[in-house]
Amino acid sequence: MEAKITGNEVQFNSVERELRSAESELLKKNLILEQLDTFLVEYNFKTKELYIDPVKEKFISVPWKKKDIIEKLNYEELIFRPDIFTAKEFLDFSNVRPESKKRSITIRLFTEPHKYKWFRITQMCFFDKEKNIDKVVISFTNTDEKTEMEQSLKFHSEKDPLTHLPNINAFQRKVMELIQSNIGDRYEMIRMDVEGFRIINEMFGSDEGDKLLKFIGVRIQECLDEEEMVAYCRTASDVFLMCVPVRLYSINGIIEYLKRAVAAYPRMYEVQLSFGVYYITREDVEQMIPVTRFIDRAASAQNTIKGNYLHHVAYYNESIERQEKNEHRIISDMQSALEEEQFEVYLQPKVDMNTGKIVGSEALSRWIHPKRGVIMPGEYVPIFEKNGFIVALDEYIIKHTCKIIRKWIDEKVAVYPISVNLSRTNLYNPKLLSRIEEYVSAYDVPRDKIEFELTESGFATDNNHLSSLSRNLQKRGFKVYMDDFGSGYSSLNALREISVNILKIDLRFLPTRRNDEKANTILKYVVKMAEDLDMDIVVEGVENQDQRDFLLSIGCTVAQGFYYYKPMSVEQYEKQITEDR
Amino acid sequence: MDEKVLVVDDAKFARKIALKALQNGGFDNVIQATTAAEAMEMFENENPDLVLLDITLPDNSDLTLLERMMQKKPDAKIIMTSAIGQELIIDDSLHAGAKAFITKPYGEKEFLETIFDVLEGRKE
Repeated sequence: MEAKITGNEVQFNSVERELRSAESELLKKNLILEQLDTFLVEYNFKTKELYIDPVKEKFISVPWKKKDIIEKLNYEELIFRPDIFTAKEFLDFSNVRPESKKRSITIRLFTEPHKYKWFRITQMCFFDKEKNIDKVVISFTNTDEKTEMEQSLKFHSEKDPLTHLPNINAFQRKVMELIQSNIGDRYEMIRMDVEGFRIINEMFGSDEGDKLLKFIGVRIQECLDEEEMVAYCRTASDVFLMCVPVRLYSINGIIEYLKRAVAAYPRMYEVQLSFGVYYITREDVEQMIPVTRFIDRAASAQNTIKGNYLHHVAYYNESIERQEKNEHRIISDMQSALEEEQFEVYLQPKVDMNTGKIVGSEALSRWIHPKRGVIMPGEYVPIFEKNGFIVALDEYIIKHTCKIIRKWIDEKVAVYPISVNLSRTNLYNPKLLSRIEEYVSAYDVPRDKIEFELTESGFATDNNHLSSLSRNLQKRGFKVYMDDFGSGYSSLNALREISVNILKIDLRFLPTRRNDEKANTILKYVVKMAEDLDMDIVVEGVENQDQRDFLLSIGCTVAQGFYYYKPMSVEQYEKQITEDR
Repeated sequence: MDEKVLVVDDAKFARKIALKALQNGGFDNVIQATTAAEAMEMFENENPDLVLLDITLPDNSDLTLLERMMQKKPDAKIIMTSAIGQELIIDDSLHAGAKAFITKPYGEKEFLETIFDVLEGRKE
């Protein structure tokens, strides 16, 4: 017969009684257990004696010394409400069978008022020969850290801790699952970020930035409420990704929803969201194209409108695809092109507008590709600037310019200075100056025959480097240009901070027209200012007689532009020089 | 659990998260409203023990609904929820009579602890 226990039978003893129970066979174990996060309660059904581990207090806030552990137990005081039912069932010994003598549950117990911790409670029943329940030993093991850690690990392995959105790994897994298990559905990959988020963080603090990101995260979840059919995540900083079936969501609908949501967000700054979209084709799915490729394509689309305050959404299209393929081709060919000297120096003459004669030139590059023919710098320079290869190309051009000058000197051709552009990436090239010295010495180039063109930058830190590079070049006897004057954000400031010999004004940035009084006045005063600052002026982009006449009238003499010469090969230039003389 | 909880949120996803957390907290008696009008009606007729009220609803985007509920039943236990975690809004809500403010996204533990604190009168 099984033991039936009722509340009345379960008697709790006084503290003295508990202490006397120290004889319990469990004592020794408890001394060990005391060191662990476990305490024991033992109840003997025959003697009605209860043994409670003396170290119990540190575990649970409930006043155990009351004589009511099971029946009169104040469950609400001891157990977190959602777990009370489970606990009550667990402490009901009426149906305990010998074959199921050990049972466990994990529930939350209050360790101090209103603060719970996870405990694993294991109950082991011992039976006599007649299979009647003899005693029960209940162990309470504090698994809070472990449980919390497990939960935290699980959370962090799947979620972004800031927004609680899935993380990129979980996102990629879900996208894969979605597109492969819903072959008939077409999906779109959307990459979204906040224009100028860095500025929001800098001006209003990262706390404010975080609040905005959390807000956007919640709104994305609310917008894409067919949770099973979509995937979304935050990858880094302000970048969010979404993958949605076109059957259920339209891009415009999503954009409108999020724009409206952001407009309702109370803030002291403008929040502009920018979107790049890639339509995942059936072929993509069939060819098992990796999810990262879709994300990259959405990013490429988005890049086309970066910083554009008029357009907030861009779709990946054939033109971007062509551009990407081209970029890929350029990157894979660039190293061998340099080694095989496929880059050629082209020169665009600088002319004295009074005489029409050449007084110098600017070194430019052309890539003479063995298969593709001549590739213009506009196609490869931005890519090289992005991946840093421009540093190698700049050095190459410096070296070849020195070689050209040496050749002219040796052949007794008239040598006019050639200016070489130094990319902004070179500001951080510690070897630049020694490389210049190396080539200038190797080809024994007079220092007044090679000049360097630097471009101002919108960033103050760059300008510090620019200033020191310019000083170093001048100290070594080279003339320095400030290129593209008027194109930057702080031209006048840059002029104050960076010492240069020649100001190069690009008419693209300061256009002159016969009747444009304002532009002409500005240019007139820039020229005057340069004179007062003891700087020479070269105007580039001169395309017609009117511009030439105006420039001469305000005191500019040296110009560069299609009105005079387009960039030309060194051979053509040499021919031109000969004709000039 | 016996307490009746009214969840007011127009976003399906937000209601789903709240419902799941409430279920895990042992609350079986949960009613839902998606607009301020619906919420007010339920508040008056169903007499919920606790209201979880999102600030932004299609027909109410400020504290008017909270104020109306507090007028109707000054001892109502109302917790505001919102994805907007600006201090000013939190302060205004508490000033208008909300017992607590939960910013989305929330963790289930803090969500339930706040609810129990309010229900058991520890947050006044």
